[in-house]
Amino acid sequence: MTTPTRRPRHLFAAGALGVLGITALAASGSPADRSADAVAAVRPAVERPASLAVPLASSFSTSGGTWVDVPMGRIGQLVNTFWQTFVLRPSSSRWALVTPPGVADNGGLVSSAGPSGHVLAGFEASQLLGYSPLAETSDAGRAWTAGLVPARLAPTPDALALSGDGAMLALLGDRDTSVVSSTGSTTVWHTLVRSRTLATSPAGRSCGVQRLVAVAFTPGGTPLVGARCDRTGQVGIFTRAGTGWTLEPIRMPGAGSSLDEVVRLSSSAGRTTALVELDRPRHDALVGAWQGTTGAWSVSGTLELGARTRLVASGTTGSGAVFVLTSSRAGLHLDLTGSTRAGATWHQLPAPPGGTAAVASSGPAGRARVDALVVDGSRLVDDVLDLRSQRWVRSQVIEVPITYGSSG
Amino acid sequence: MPGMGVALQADNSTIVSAFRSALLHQGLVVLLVVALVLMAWNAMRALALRRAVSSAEAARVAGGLSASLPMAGAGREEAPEPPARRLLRVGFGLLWILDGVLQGQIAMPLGLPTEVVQPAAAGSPAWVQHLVNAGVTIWSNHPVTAAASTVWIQLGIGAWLLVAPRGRWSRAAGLAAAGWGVLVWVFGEAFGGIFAPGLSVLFGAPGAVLFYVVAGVAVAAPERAFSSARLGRQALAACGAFFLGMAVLQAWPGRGFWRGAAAAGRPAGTLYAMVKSMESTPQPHALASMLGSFASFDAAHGFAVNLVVVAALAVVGVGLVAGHRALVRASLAVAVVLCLADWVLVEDLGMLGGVGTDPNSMVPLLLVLGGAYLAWVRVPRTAGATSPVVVPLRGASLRERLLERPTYAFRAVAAIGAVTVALLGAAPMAAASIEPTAAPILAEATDGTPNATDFPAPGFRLLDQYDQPVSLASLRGKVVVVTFLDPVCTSDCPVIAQELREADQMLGADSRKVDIVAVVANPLYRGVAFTRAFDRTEGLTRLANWLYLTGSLASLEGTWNHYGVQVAVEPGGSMVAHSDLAYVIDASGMTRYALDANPGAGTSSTKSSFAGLLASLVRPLVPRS
Repeated sequence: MTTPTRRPRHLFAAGALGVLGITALAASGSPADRSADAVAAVRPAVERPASLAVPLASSFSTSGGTWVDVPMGRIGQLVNTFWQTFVLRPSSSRWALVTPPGVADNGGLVSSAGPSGHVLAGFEASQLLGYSPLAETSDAGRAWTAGLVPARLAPTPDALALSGDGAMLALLGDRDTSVVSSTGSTTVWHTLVRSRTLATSPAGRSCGVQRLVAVAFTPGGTPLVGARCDRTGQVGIFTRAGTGWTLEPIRMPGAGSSLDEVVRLSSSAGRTTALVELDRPRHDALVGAWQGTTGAWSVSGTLELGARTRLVASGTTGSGAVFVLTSSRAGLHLDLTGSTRAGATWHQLPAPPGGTAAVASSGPAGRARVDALVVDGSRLVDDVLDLRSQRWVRSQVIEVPITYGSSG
Repeated sequence: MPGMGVALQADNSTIVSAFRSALLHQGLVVLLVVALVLMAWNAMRALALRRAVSSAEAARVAGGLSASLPMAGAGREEAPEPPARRLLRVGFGLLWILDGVLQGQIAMPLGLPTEVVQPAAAGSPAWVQHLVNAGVTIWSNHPVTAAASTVWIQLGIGAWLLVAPRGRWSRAAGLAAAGWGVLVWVFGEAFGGIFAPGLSVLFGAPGAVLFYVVAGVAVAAPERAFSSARLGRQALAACGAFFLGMAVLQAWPGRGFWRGAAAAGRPAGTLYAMVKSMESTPQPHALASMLGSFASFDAAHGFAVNLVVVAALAVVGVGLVAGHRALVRASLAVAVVLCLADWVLVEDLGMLGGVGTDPNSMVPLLLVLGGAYLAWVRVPRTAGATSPVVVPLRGASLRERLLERPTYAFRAVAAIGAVTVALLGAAPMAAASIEPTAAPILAEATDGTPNATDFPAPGFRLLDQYDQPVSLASLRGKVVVVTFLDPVCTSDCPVIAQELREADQMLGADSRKVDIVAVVANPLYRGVAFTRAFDRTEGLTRLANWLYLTGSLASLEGTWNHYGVQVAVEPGGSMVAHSDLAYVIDASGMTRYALDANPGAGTSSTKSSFAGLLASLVRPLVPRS
């Protein structure tokens, strides 16, 4: 019998070490490291990430009523979240459900009003729909006329704008954004500006435009575009000037020390209203800004945001005041600023009830009505702030007929 | 419509019925094969007996020799099969048969990809998921064929291993087992999850079927490999290294194994979560109760449990690597206890829940350990023999071998039968893997069988996407497919549109004689602007025979009514609800088929299946003149 050839012992050691090495590699990973989702979610290196997510839930007040867009249903399940539009008509003290019919609105609703009281609503395209339908009303939501934009609306509450003479603006896209305009038809649109074009313009370069985030008209009907910029101390609000754009000279508190992001941009009560986030290293702040008929801008004081504060909803009042509903570890906070005096402070209103998804303010200054709209599935509960007692009082409950599962 | 987009359930009656039917028909073929095997063996026995009798007669006549019959099996005495090899061959042969039987569960056709394969690949790198998805696509496109094929492949391999104990047939069985095992390990187990986080031998790492592959390789190896103790020694050392590696992995911090129940700010431990998950699997109450008790114990003593597991794995590993006989025996004893405990309390026997494909990893791991041990301590007596396979008569032909050795004859014929059974599965599986179109059964499972009709198609007069008037009469002379789509739909209408486009592509040159017509099914968003926007976003603008028709509300409502389509505006932010119907109208204007066009889950498989079904209905109606 021949003696079998003995393999070198070090091969065993190498094999054992190999197994141990592979083991160590396997152990060193974590689910987060290897998540396929993490791979898919990488933003382009050229754009800095937004520090404050801007929700679509918003409200505004016009001569035709106070409007609010709010998500309802099973929040967290896209196909079972259904956005609803409510209006508080001037002649009524109760909210009416006026959600434009005919399109699944799981992706969100954005609304904008013109000075004449016309309201234009846009459906954020969801699932397989490749463009955004529109709906327009001139009778406070009793009847709607269908329209569309040729692509998906940008996921921002100020993606639509109406002017007094019927002109319209729409902000399209997510990363590669563009603005389209129409002279009155909700089905015929022309490109006004693309983010890349604005970024390469002299005004855009001075700001460092990365993406367009809002559209509006000045009270005079001039298009306005809000952009995210990457230069400190520059607020990216651009006004159409001929065939070009000019950067509005807005000076934020502590100018030059923060990245200033346009959060909201709209027109109401004869002036342009903006909400700007000061993106600071430590913690962020919000500032209201207004442009009067003279063209000059005035800004409020800062509303300091604590760590892990998120924006729940925002809106404007009929007088052009700005309010924000925020959520932090301490609960919900409702803050309002509306004076045109430079440095005007923010007023904190009593904390709204838990579950408040949107806030609306209507009525003249001094006698304003403030509503906190609490969502519980398909039920909307309206609590009104009693100005004397500073307490929230139940006013109305609306059951919305939601057809769960209808969106696939 | 409520229920749109719902995937086919694993117990879908159409698929289950088709699966059972396929197994029954193929089972009859298998019975036929078995009958042929038995008949062949009987015939060979009879021939062998006749030959033996005539040889004895001839011998007696020639020289008055003893009239005894020649001994069956005359020839050189056969060396026994190495015990290690026998253990592996028989053990894994039985496992393959068990796995084949498990593969016959009714939930397998639809449940295997979604409930077993894809979850196994979750967390793995993209390239692993890409590979796995390639296999999932084939299975999802032909679920009945794939599931039935897998049954027969595994039954065939198992039977082959059992009936062919020695020689080339046996080695070929080992090779087939190893080859099929590799395919299953890659495409079915995502490489046993070795590239995904959370790897643990307690949960089946590195994949149960990898042990099948190891056994298959061992059976395929020449028997002389078992002629010395070296193979066994090496195998035990490799197993020891494996256990040591698993011990390190089990002990590694930050992977959740040292925790029990969830605490404030901390999630539940990994082992606890797995056992709780297995507890919820449909199974006998006694077993679920046992798992529940163990989960409760681990919740309270997670650290201690993992300490014991780590210690046991380390002890086994060290003992096996050390090579001392007493240590190895002790380590194997610990391994048996650990593996059996894990098999019951963590792996939950591996084969419950309706989509269990095998008894998981502990049983095959024990078999491999047993084989390694036997290969070390039970070396065959004819050590050094280069060819223990018996040749009954030196220089005898195959025919003579078959006639002289009934057992050899039976094994050879049985092996051929087993290979036939395996091929009964492999051939359809191979054909399905290259078939680009999914089986029509999926569309029928979603929408039912198309209704054959025979009535004049109701006319309509509407506007196409170019604002031009189109009537049904103007399309006479071509086959017309009519359906109803909402241009602002978010879910099923885009899917149906893509299915129609795919069906049109499948028709090839015949598409020139076919018109695909969609009619707007939304009373509010119905203008030409919307049909154009839909066409643009769905890539239909270049489809020459595509028409998307709309018109006044009255003309649309008339068309809906005539074609039995219900359209309703739903409140609360919902999309318009409408029937998903399609009609196939022949060139003379007669409606020949009415189909439910609900796309179901809208997966690539269901889309391809519907497109294929529609194309198969249209093609025979295309005018050939």
